[in-house]
Amino acid sequence: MAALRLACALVALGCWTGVQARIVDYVEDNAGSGEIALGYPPPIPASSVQAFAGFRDYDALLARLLGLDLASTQLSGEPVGLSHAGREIWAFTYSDPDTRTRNGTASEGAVLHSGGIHAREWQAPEAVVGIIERLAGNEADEGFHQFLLENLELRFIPVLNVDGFRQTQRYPVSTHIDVDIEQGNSAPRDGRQRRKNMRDTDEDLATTSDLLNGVDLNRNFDPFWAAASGTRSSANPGSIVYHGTGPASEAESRILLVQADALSDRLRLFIDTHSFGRVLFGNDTHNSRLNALSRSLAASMGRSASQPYGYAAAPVNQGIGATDEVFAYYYEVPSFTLEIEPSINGASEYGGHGVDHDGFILPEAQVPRMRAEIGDMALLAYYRQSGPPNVEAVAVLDADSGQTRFAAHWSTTSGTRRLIVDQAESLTADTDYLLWIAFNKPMRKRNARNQVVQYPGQTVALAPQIRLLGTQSELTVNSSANGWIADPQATPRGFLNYRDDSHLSSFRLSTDLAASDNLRLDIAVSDLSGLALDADPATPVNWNQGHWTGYQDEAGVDGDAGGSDGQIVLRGRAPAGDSPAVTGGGSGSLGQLLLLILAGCLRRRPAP
Amino acid sequence: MMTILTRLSRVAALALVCWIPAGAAATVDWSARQALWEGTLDAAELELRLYRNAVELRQTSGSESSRVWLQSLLDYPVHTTREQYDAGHHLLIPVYPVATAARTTLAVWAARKEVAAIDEAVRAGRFAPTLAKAANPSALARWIETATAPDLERIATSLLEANAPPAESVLAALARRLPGSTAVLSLARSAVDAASLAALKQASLSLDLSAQYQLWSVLTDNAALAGAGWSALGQLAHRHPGAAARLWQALSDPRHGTSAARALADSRLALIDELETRLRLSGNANEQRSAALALYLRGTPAARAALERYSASARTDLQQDLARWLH
Repeated sequence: MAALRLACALVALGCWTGVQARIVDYVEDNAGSGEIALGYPPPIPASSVQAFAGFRDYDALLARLLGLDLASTQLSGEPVGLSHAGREIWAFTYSDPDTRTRNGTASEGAVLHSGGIHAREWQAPEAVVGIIERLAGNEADEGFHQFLLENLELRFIPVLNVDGFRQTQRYPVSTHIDVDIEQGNSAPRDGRQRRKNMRDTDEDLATTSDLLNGVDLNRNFDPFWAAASGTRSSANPGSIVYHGTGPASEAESRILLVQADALSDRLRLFIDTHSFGRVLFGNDTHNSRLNALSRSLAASMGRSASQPYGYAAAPVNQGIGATDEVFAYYYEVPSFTLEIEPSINGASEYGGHGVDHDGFILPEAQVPRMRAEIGDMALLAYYRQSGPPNVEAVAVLDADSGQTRFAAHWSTTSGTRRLIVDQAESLTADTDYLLWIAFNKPMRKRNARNQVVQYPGQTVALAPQIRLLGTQSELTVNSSANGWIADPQATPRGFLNYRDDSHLSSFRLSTDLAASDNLRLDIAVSDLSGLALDADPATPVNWNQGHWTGYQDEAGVDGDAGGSDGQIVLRGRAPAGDSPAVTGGGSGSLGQLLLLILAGCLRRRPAP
Repeated sequence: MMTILTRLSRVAALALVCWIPAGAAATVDWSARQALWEGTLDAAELELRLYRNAVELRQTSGSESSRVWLQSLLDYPVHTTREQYDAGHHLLIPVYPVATAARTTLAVWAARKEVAAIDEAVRAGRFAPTLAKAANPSALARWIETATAPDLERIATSLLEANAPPAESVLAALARRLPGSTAVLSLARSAVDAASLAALKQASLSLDLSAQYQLWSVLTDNAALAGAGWSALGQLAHRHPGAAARLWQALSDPRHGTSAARALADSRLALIDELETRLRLSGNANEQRSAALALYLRGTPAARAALERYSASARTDLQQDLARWLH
């Protein structure tokens, strides 16, 4: 009531200032009349083709991408349509020339990643271009990035709302403040803070009659076009969330849909990059498996940043006409509106004054880190949606001689996948063996010192868990995180296709295990994002109707969780006249312990 | 209804704040402090007064009692908030950001104090490189922005001749004030952030063409800001033959060819014939790619026609790229 009394008194005194449309300039500090102090220098887009600690102008971003396109045989860009104002909108596809995975088992999955649908959210184009730059710089790294390019088709639309983005860069420090139609308060709406496209408005801030016009492209989509109202979606052309005259009424929206259709059979992920909020928005649909997979993926992505991103899913059958809804409901793929940092606290996170809407104005010093973190997050999502890991090949070698005792690999012919056993000698007790296992994807990441480490924010067991299961006993194979192979020429075997797609461990059979002619190799390992193995590689994994297909657990049941691989069976050979009393190493028997102690003593004996 | 009330009170608050005459001798609002302790005021009214007081105090030099008072407000939990949905962003905006205002005022005082300390040291002849090194770079930069010319000249020499180069923000401030000094080239060699780039651009306005050319050439060797250096050379190219030559030469550079292409395309040079010649005759694949890119980015009908003429006979990979771009 005090507030009301105070306000009424002021109104009575003629001090009512009202909300007046005006143009203000952002400054760092010492704001005068018509200025807003951010507490940090307002970013000015630079015409630098190369990434730097700041924002690039649109022409520089495009030049950068075209330069990369010319230099790469795997990146190809093309104008895919015209904006409302007739400007070209570019899409860039990054992939190897074929549409099969490297092992030939299945069609490559596809990813569509867009940015710049909202003009003022400058973080998004920088982040998306940053991802392409990162891929370009590593496209032949024989590792993580090369794997992505050889096993996925990645399509990017770095700046969808090109007219609006150019408008914000035309007025990098000036914004038109006007009345928010739904809420009645003042809010920045054009110039640096334009959000919508440029329908029914010119590019001149001095033309005040049209400054609120334009369509919010992220309210322009089915299935929930115009389904919400008020502050969420509006039929009022002056509203910040004006949804247009119909679903996909805008040229920019139609271009996004055409790109989606071109990939529809293989699409596995959609990300629309925005700012701000430090959150991933998604949808709970009628497809519970898709919902669970989306949540799990969002959790992994969210953990990858230095300050975690949350996940918020709209309830079933509720939406606002946003892009993520199209892809969740129609294409049935994990589909996210990725709101880049800062959180809703805005730029006060970086020491800014915390003024209204400053979250859209990321301090330039934060740009390189933001670019890197969103790159980590997006590439992790691509990697995960490339499909679960599976065993590709196994070899057992005599540790002393290096001779191969067992070798098998999965082979694909005419779309059928089967295990080919190339060599199968029996294994004997008390012999040191090396176990080499290759997977279909890079399983681990390395740091600058070449140490195997977690992918940012992930917590997977770095070493695989491998057991040899006999009929009576079992042995846990001695594996470690250091066993991942980064060298193609490593002894006795290098990696199969990519750095860290293969692992080397060692074991020694106990007498009773060696007596078994059925030694099942049980391999449990997750890829670097936490996806478990496809337990039966005979049925290639694919994506269909919002979930994985052909992805079995150890019991052979199709699902989305996977399990341990038990497809490889080795054979033991008991030495003639040997006592069966000693049990498997994994059981920790006294006999085994005594043998190990004895072996240790023998090794330490000084040479004669 | 509550939203409307709080909105009205915010407008009222802003109106009241606007009434404060600049430089008014503000002190701690003792009655508000009393009300804070005793809980005798409605939250909105209390926060309005606390906020006003924190902003008013910014105009003062910051007495000890005022400082203690503001520090006690740093953790003040704002109760009066405005719920706002701005295009999907759910925001709870403090109507009177008391803690933010207090923090800002304390920061303003601290900055003033540091600048004053530097000023005093300079006037007393006590400013030495060691002091410069110990000074807060942002305070030193602020001092440089407002220092008198003689003071600045004297200090700049000592700063620039010290063994350790000054912080980037200090160099940027020096470059702005003394565009003819070695600070400009030092900054161009070491700068990494956008604020420094702005300082270099400002400094360049006072330089002759030759010095500008030297400045931007140095920047092209700075990995962090090379792109901006090439762009600036493009703006200079029609007035400085050296800049144009450097750009033409960089077309074949695998690291900088794209930057050079963009800079040439944006320049005022007449370049279509030369680019077409290089496209046809160059044996260097990087140069061909960059020349094609420059023509594409030039975007004029003549440039496009040249590119289309070349496209038919281009190398296969280039032909494919150009076909996509030009379709």
